[in-house]
Amino acid sequence: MNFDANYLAVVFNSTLRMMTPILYVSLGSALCNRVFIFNIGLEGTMLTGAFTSIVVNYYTGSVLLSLLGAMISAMIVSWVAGIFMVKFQGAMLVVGVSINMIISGLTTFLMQLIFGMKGAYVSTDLVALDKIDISFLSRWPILTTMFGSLTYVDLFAFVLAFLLYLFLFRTVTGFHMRSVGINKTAAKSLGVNADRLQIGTVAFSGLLSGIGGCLLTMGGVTMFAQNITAGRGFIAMAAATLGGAHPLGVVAASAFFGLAQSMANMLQNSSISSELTMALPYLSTIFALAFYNFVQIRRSKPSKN
Amino acid sequence: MKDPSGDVILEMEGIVKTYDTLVANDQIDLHLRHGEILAVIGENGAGKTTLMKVLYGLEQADSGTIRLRGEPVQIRNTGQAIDRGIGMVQQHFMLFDPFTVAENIVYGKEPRKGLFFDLDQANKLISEISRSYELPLNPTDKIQGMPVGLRQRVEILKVLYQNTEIIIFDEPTAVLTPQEVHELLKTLKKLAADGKSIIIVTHKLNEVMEVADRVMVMRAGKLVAEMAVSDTTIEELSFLMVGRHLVETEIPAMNAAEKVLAVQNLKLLSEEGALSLDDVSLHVRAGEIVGIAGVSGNGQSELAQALFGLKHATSGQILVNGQDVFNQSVKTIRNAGVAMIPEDRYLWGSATQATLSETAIMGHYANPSYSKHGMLNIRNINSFAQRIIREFNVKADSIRQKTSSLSGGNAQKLIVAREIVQGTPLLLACEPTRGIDVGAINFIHDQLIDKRSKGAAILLISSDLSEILKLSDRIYVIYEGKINSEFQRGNVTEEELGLMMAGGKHENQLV
Amino acid sequence: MKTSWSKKLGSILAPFGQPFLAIFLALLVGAVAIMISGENPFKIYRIMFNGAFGSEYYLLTTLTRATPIIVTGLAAALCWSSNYMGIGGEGQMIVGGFICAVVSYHFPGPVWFKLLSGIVLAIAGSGLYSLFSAWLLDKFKMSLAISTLMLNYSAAFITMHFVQNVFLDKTVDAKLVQTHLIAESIRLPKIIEGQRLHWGFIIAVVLVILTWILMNRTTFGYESRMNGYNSHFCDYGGINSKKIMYGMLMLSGMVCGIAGIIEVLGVNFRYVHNTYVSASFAWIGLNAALISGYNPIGILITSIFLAGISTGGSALARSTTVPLEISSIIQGFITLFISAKIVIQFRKRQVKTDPRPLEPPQHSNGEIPAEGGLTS
Repeated sequence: MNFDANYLAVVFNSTLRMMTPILYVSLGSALCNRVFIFNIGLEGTMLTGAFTSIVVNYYTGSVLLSLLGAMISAMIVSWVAGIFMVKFQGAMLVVGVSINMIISGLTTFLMQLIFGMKGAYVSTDLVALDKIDISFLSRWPILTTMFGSLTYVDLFAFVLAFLLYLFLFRTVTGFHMRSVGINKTAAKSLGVNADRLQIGTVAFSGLLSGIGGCLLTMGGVTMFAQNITAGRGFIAMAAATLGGAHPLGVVAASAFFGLAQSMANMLQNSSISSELTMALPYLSTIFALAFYNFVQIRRSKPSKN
Repeated sequence: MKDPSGDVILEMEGIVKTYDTLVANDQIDLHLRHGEILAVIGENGAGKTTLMKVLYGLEQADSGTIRLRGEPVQIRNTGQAIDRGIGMVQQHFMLFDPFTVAENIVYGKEPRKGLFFDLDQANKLISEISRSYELPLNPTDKIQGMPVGLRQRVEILKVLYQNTEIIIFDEPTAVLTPQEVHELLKTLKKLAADGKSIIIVTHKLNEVMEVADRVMVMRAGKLVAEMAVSDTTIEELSFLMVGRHLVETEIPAMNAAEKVLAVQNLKLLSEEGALSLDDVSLHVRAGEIVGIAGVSGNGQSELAQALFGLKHATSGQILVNGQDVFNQSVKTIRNAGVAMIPEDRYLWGSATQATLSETAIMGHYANPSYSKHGMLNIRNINSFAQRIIREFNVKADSIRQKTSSLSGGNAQKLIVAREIVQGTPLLLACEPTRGIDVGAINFIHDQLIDKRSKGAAILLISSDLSEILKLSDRIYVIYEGKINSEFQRGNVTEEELGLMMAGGKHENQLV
Repeated sequence: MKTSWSKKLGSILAPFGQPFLAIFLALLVGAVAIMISGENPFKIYRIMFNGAFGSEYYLLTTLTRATPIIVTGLAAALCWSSNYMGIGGEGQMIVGGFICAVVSYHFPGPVWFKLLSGIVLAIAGSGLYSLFSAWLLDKFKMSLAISTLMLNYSAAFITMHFVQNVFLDKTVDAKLVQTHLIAESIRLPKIIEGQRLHWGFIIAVVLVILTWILMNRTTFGYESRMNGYNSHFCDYGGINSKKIMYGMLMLSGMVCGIAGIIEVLGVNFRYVHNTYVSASFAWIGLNAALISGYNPIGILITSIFLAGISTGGSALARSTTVPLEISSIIQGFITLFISAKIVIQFRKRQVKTDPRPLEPPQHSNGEIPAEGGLTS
């Protein structure tokens, strides 16, 4: 294996494709963090999106409807989670854990009813998300490698991060959202419907995770497998923390996890045991968070003394 | 001062509000005229704040009507109150620390430019308002790190920005320094002169006399009197408020013995880097109650927490019966013979979900009669809990009920009992009677005096001046983290103490 | 008189009311799912019930399945009730089972020595592994939820690596990632000859009693419970909350390790990759702890009930077209409905409350978001 420019371009491309599903979910998680919601159910809602997109795909063969289905189904599940967290004051961790359990069971349950099978569903009838035409880059093979086989949904993730940045820091609703995370009592007493804002945010984060799930099943290989998200929702939560719950910071953090994931995939072809490389994204999450928090703690200390 | 026949702008009639069995407001009527300052006074728990919450839409009355300029209105939430021109400066400030002054003030009524929040416009507007009301503030400063007086100014500007005509101030001076109080009262008068109608909720009578036009007295949820301030006196108001003449408690003389607590040059830097405690030196002898008087927020909490090991001090010395306990763990300090009635009974003093027996043994469950070799002796614990509930008149059905089911006064009695029966040579009593009913207050006072008579040393930290004067053999005054004076019992009046609490100097003082 | 009676009855029933209501609602949701799959819910629930408790064989199978759920449930109750909400039971169980299987096969010496070392090292290993997330929380303020989740996946893959590349049993089906069978003499004996139920269930019941004693009769249990209620109260009482954090997280890791050991010694006789994950033992255990409000005896009963839903689900897969995942749907919904504070709020209204000067800390689940999100 030689680390030439082409190899790096391949890594870059793989990182991009690995990071965007995480990016969607971690943008959702970042919004939740901003309104003081610890939404561990994003793993489940991402799985909801992944599953619905393949089901709609199977029945209609329409890319757009699949994406829409993923967004709406994940949003509904997340909205229910939001109601339980905010209106019924359920402990967020407990609600999230049960949502994940329900969705994990429900998707496998429906998979058997619809596809008559367990495990993984692959079919040539399924359509994939449209790839961006980059023939205009054909003169530069390196660039073609770097930006090859990306979908419009991948691209939109970056646009969305910027839009959410504007929304959060430049609009009144974004201002109110941030205020709810800082002091919900004050926001309520000043006439802002904080409950509705929190539930809305959780629902919206579900919608985003649905896109992430759709990207997972219809981006590269078009397939659905039981629990295909494999903890990506949790990793995305870590990415949101690592990015300081700032949409642009989250892009950088997701890139890190995309890199970890793509390295894990790349190293599978090397002499290192593939089982160990599969643990890489999870271990790197722990180390990245530990390092990030270490720096945060160190930085906050001198100002205190 | 004002034309008494001025237009009535607000009428509340027959307001009733109950919480379970507690009647917080019982048929209360309130009338507010245009441009006047109305004081609503009463003891803690008299129902003043509840009435204001009903007016501001934070609570819904069970019955009664509210009329604004003669029109009956329903106020279901604060948004509706603000829309109708009612604003409130709450006791606990409703501010967002990481946001700027302007962001805080325009909150809820933000200027917009298209889709976006127009922050430049907000800054400009706030500069203008701040100038026109002579309340200087920099709109781009962050709230974080601001002194309390300025924070309150932000709250006032927020209400003014909302274009309110009726402004409610809930205990506005409780946390202010005397200078800030002076400034605030000036501001109130100016606002009234500008045509705002003001309701001030307080229990500080000299402020009422200084600033208000009319006064309403509430007691135990009922309206007991309403009159023009010019027709009454502090003494009369005080009598109406308490419903009894303050009984002078006879406190037996004690010969103070050896020093139980000796603090030398205690310094504590807060997390923001300010000196919360500045060279505090004090001592308490056996058989002595020593009061720490001061306006809330002048370092009392930090002092208590540093003495008890809950907060790390920066430098100094703390001796308990000669043992050095400076920056030791709470456990070590408790073992050295210190008990503490914490200032907040629900934050520190109890766990609402814990049963009464569980609450009763906190801090001394390691006592051999309650546990041996790490195993609890449930029978002894329960009979101990039964005993203190009986001896301290805690109204409870069972020792297995949750602490949250006790009323505030009973919960406080349970905590006081727990800390007193340990028989420690030193007791730190922090706000031992805050927010509880008169019966419980007197009971707790008697218990403290009784403990002193048995030869214990008590450090009493209280923002209630009459409590300090009633119980203390000696009084230290704390101001901005410094002990600025010391008095013997009887050598000082309430007014003189008030002056010292404001940072003044006095001739009778011992230091 | 009448009101006081109904109040008393209400206060007696209230702690049970919510679980029963939640179970009823979850079964209702499950019925919808069953109808979607084209079956009659009553018929299906009857098959499930019979498949779980209908005969001695099924009942004992359910109890066998309940065993690891009880033990992981106790582990979850230990740390959750002291305010440390770890969800790493799965990883801890994997570590315990893996170490036990490997050591008691590969260690030299007599059989009893292999077994003893296997048990001791497995408990120590899962305890230390759990301590790691306690250390991450203490030193780096890392959210316990995130660190334990990530460790679950890491443990699954790293043990898989060792099984696949070092300890693989190649004598049987090469597709299965599993270690060698341990000696028959060190397997847990069956309680009733010819049935599946083994002595692990007795161990679980003993652990229930020990946990109950620990939680209700020891000073450490008292300290931990108070810490779960209000950590400020504990600071003020002179309790060292770090001792509780490290102690309880290690203990709960060790108990989960025991769950793994029981599965190795009593059911599989080896470590098989993915069995604990696919059976969701630790997650159902956590659900049992949550449903029963961390009460060990409640956990015993709830675990058997939840295990019954699982074995009932398996019965469906044998005789009907309804997929067995109906069980995790029902189990998940029970916990979701348990989380809601509907019944509790209804009950609080009867209790006299007074306005609190200070609100209790907003987040009681151990997550402390700071400005700009969750930095913990």
